[in-house]
Amino acid sequence: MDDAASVPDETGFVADEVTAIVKEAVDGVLAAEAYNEQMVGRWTSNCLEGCVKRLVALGKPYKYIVTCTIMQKTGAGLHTAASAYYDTATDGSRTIRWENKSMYAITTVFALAA
Amino acid sequence: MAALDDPSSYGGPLKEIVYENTYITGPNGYGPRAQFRVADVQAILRAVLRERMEKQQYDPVKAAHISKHIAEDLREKVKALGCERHKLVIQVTLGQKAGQATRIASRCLWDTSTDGFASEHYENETMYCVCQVFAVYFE
Repeated sequence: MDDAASVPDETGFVADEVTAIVKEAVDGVLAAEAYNEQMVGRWTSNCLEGCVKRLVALGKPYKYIVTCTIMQKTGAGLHTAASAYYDTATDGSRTIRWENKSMYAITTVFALAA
Repeated sequence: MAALDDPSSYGGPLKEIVYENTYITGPNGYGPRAQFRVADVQAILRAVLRERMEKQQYDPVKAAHISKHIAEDLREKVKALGCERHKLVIQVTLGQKAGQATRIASRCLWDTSTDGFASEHYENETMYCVCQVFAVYFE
């Protein structure tokens, strides 16, 4: 008889998995690129599409919201704050910071159970 | 004979509450107030941003507090609008103006008929602020 009490871990929000996915997606697009005004639009789109595709491939019953901010490095300050009204038992969020010599990329993923 | 409300007359562990089926499949079923109204939320965003950011100078310590307060304030005000069936995610980005370029983009994987977002930006001489509110319907 099947042990109904053993629920597989994979159906929850695993933050580390999400961090790995986002780092991979952003590295794939921005590694070794210098900040370029014309390309930024394309880069943000590609990063986001890469993230969403990989998140969907996880196969979990979640709705995702992914936000990406790319900023040129000029010594200016930047603050990000997020507040949410969700069920902390099933939903979660993660912010991933990435940088190279000429820019910062800050990606936030919110996963909400459908 | 034990009284009806005597705790010793309760037998066994507490029963889990089972809710009856409402048979409502979308936010429309809960009435017009339950829909996510973008225009109303944008009006709230504009009012809160103007109130918090007018005549402020960029200060690294204060800016951290301002952004947190804006996020919490927005969450309470949008909740008060009455979309009880929606989960909310609010993101506030506050930056110093130093001649740099910034690009903020987002992608969402959701049901476009029930979920929505609103975003507003505000700037003054030394700083700029961008707020995004996402509302996701919860069945």
